[in-house]
Amino acid sequence: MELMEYDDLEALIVRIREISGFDFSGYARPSLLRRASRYLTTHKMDLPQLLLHIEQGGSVVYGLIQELTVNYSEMFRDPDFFRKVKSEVFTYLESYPTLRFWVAGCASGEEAYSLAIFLKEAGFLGRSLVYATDLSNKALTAAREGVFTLGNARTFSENYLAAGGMQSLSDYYHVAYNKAVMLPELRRNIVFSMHDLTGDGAFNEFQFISCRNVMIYFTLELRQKVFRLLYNSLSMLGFLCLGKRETLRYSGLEDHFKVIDSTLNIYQKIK
Amino acid sequence: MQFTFQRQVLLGIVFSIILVLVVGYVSYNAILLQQENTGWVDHTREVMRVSESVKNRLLTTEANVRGFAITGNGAFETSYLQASNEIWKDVEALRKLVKDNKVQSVRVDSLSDLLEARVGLMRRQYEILKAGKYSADTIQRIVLQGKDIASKIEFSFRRIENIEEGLLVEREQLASSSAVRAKQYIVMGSLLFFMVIMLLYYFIRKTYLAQLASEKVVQQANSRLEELAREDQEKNWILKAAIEVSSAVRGEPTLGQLSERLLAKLAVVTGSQVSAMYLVTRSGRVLERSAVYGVSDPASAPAFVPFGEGILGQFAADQGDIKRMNVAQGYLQVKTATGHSSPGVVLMKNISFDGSVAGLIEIGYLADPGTKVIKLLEMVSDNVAVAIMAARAREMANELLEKTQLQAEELESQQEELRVTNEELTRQTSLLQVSEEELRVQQEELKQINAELEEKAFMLEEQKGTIEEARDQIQMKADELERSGRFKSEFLANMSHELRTPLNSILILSRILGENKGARLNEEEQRYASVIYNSGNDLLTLINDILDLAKVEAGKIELIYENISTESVLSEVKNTFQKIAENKGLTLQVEKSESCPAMLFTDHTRLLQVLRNLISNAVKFTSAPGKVSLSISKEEDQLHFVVTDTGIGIPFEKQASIFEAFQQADGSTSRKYGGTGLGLSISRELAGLFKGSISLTSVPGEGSVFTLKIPYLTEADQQAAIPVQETVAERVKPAPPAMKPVASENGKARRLLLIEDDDIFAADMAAKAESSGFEVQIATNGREALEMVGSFNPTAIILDMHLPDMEGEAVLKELKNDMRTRLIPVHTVSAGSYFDEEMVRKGAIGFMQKPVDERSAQQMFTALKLEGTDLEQQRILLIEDDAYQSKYLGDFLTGNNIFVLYAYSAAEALKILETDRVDGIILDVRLSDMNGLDLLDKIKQNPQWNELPVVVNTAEDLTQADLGRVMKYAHPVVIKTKKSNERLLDEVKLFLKKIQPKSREPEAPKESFSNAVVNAEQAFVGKKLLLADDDMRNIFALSAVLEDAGFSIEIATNGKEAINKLEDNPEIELILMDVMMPEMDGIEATRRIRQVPRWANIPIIAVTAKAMQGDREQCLEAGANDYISKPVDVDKLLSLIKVWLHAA
Repeated sequence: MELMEYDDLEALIVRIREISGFDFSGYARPSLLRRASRYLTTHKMDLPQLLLHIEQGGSVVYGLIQELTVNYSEMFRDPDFFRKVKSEVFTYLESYPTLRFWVAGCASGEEAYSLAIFLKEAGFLGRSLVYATDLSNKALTAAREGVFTLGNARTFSENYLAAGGMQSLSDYYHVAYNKAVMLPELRRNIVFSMHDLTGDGAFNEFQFISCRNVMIYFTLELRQKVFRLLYNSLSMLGFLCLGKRETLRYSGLEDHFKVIDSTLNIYQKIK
Repeated sequence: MQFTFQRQVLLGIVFSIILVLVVGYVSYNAILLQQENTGWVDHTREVMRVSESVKNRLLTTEANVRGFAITGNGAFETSYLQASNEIWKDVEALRKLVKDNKVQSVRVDSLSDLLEARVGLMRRQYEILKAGKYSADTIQRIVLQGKDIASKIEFSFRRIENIEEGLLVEREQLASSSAVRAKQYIVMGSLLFFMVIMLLYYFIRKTYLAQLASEKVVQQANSRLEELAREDQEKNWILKAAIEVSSAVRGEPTLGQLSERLLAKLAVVTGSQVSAMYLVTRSGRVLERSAVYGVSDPASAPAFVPFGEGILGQFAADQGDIKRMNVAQGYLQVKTATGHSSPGVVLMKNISFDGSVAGLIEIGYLADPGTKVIKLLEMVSDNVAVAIMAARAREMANELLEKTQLQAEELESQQEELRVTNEELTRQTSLLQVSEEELRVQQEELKQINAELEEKAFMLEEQKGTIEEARDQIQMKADELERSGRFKSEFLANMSHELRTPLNSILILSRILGENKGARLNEEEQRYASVIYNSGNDLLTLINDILDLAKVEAGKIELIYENISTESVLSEVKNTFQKIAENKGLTLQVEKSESCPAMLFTDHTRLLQVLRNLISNAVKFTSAPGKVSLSISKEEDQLHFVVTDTGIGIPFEKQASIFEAFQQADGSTSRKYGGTGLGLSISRELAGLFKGSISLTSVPGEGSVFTLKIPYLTEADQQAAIPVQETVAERVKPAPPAMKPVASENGKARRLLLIEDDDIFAADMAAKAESSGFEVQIATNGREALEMVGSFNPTAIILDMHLPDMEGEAVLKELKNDMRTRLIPVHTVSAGSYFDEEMVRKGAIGFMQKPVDERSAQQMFTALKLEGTDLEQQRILLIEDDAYQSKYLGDFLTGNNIFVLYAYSAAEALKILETDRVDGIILDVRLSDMNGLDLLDKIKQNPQWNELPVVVNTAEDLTQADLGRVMKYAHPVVIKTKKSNERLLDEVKLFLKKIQPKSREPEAPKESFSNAVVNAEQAFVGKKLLLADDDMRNIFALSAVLEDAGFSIEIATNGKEAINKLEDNPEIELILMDVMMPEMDGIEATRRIRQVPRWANIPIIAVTAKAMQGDREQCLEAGANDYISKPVDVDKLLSLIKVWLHAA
């Protein structure tokens, strides 16, 4: 039984926008519908109740926004990608005196930490700054703590080795209360901050932007907008990385980028 | 510990027995000891007796030996032998007796030895004596010896006896003392025994008394027990009754059944006569009759009793426990078949569950049933209550069960529906799968087709490419042909003009000669002169024709339209040819048709020229008797001039070629008929000029018809046409500049600008240059040339030193002073003789005097090409003091088609910059003669070079300060790593690409700002502002604008730094705070600043990329005064700053 129809969803989107200013209209509908239905099921609500519920505004509506967006992440996800970044991109970036990285849509920070670990191994974490942003404050709080359940550590470790890590992933965390706590020195060069790709503007100039598995939740129009934002946030010759299933095609910016790897979706801004 | 009586007695007896045994044992022992001691005394005496006996036997022996010695009597001898033997028996007995005493044993042994010696001696004496062979001495000696031994033996005996005597005394004492002790033991034991018996007697008596007392108590207890048994019986009855009652309500009865059973059972058990039971209804507070028993008129018991109503209701409401009432006669009726009576006692019992009333029982008895019934009721009430609740629960459960069943049915039906739907879905799914597979197949096919198509497209593309190439080549050839044709015509035009001048002289002089005014020539000579004259004339006509043709072909003839009457045309033709035709015997007919207008708007001269050509040809090729006619008519919009003759005609295969120049129907024709053969060509060209045509129909031997068709025009048409032509002309003129940039980018690599006012020379040179591979544009004066340099972007220039508007030298100077053009090679030409070196000194690469022949032109082009090659390549100045690295990097760049200029020191670099064209710089920070960054500053201070892009290349990490110096110019810094060359190349290519468009960002804000009202006030001069942001782009852009507005700027790249800067610079009046910063974000920094009292009022404007409403609130909440979002609108920012500065 469907808890929600597409029409209801539209009504909800409008309401959320009116209350919080956050605009879901650019999000892909089927995914959003599933998330919203899930929200109703888990909170034992129906749509009228939900609409009434979010009238409270504030944390309630932000909570809803966070639950409607998907926050999944793992360390060294797609090891091929990290391997490539290490071999092709890092060697290029090494010649910059200062470096800025942006992990857009960082969820609970795994990718940012992964990046920091490789930067450390490449020897220029010291002059790098990794900005990790996400829409969800909840996810960001988790990311700031840098605490991951040990259960995942094995997958992470395998990924790390497959990505060409030079040590053992366990060198980068210590275990406490059955959790893996990332070393604070990694955290030192990561800035976790809230940022909405769909509404907020460019906030810095980066040599490397990773925006992986974020676009898939957006409609085509919104993607173009976000691509423009990413483009504007990239320095000339900077690198843009997208998720495995994503592509720069239809972004309207194809000819501004050189393809570094077409399957792993690594691009370099050339004009 | 308390002992029971039995135990006490037992203990006493045991004790007595032990005592008897102990006393007996002790006495026995004492007697034994005494006997032993007495034994020992006897023993000692025996020892002494034996030793005495030994002594005696020895004496006997001695005495016998002595007797034998004296007497020699055999009796003595026998006694002696007997005695000596018996001694050993006694010694042996003695040894046995003292065996227990070691000392004595030893002494006995020594005694025995002595005895042996003594006996042995005596034996010797005896034997000697017996033998009789003895001497006195011997006997004496033996006797002496015997005496000695005898004394020793005596001593030994005494010692033994002494000891035995000591022992005797000692043993006698022991024997007496042990006798005394034995007596004592016996007495003491008897006494003890007596005491124990007394004690036993005492205890037994005491116990017996106690037993008597307890027996009495037991009797009392027994009576009590009997009482209890009675009570037990009652309880048992109650219990039994209760069990019966409980069993009556057990099972799963309904409430009614339960009540009935209960009442019936109660009647049986308690012998009640009437009873009724009420239950609280489910809604509560009302009692409902559930059963009556023995009531004669059931109706008399109310069906419902609300709480608090009547005794029953009140009792229930009070939640009382049990109530007993003695009731008056007739209160309740008990009826049997045989009679009736009234009960005497009524009991009411509330049945409660969990503290609330669940039901009520009322029971009537004829006689008082006693307390046991009450107790019974109390006892069963809980059970009954539970049973009632259980029954009630059952009842409800049943109801629910029914409901559930109904729902289950409903569910089942829905399930059915679902199943149906599911089946439908499954079916559809399979259908979908089928179609999906189909789709997949189609997709595959499509992919296949797509791939094929792509291949085809690719091939087509390739073909298209070849075709286009071929077309381009053809076009080029066509252009070349057209050009060469045009040049030929122009050349002819020029040449014929030049030829006519001397020919004129020839004609004039030959005519004068032919006139022979001085009559100095003879007839022959005169004829020669006329031949010269005629030939000259022919030549002139030929030249004129050629000139005409050339002029037309070169497009040098323009038609001059005017209004003429048709009649005048006709009459003119008539006037010209009438005479000639008559002379030849031909008829000339000139006419116009009805349709022909009276007035024509056309070029009179040229029209007549064509007509004259046609008619003269017609006349020429028609022999008498023949006819030549001209008729003018108008067909539709065209005027037809038809010239008909009856001449020789033209064969069909030659009809096409007769209009071509220098061709006639027959090569011999001109010889036979004369003429240049150019007439028809000229006519056709002219017809083309009129936008008309000439057509021919001819049958050889019968004659030809030439028709000139030209459009019919009126003056009005022409006026309309002229502006069109002008606009076209005008459009054509500006067109080249518009196309030039395109041409310069996509056209040929070598572009030559020809600055030349002499058309012919220019055209000539242009043709040569083009054939030499240049794209050529021509400027006819200095101004135009300088404009075109910018747009055409030539790689080489040929400059004529004589120009109509300005001196060539001035143009040269201007070219050489412009940064953009100073490196374009310029070659000068002139008709005059300039001093070569002078030109070169001024910047030209060479000079050539006009006219320029092919060879020298080629020389010039080669020189220009050589000089211009570098121009195409981007020129990078590589400043690097390490020769090896320099070469390595230089080779890498050269390999990527970049022209590299090498400088190994700052001084060299500056020199190259002065003299050479440089598009960009790669600068190593470490140089031998100057710090690279200082050099960078120096370069940037020079206005000529400050636009030059620079890439800073460094082997070591730069300090933050050094980095700041570079970043100030927004130039990239490349740290030397293994793969850094790649990036270096990218950076270089990047700026080379950007050379054309100006630098990007700071420009726009500046412009928008320059218009801002704020600027006019100079309100910000000297104000200090803190800009906290870590985005370098933003810092540069904003600080440039803000500094322009008069602010002095402090920059911080994170929150902490911002606070520190604020601490160090108390004169800061306003803060621009970026929200997203490393280490400490803007919100936190704002919050901290606000915590310091002296900064409580300093305006803070938050700068953020975020758009959600919440963010703005967050900023303001942290203490920011206002908020501006990225990308920053400069005007808005300045207004904001102004507002807040004023507010503060």
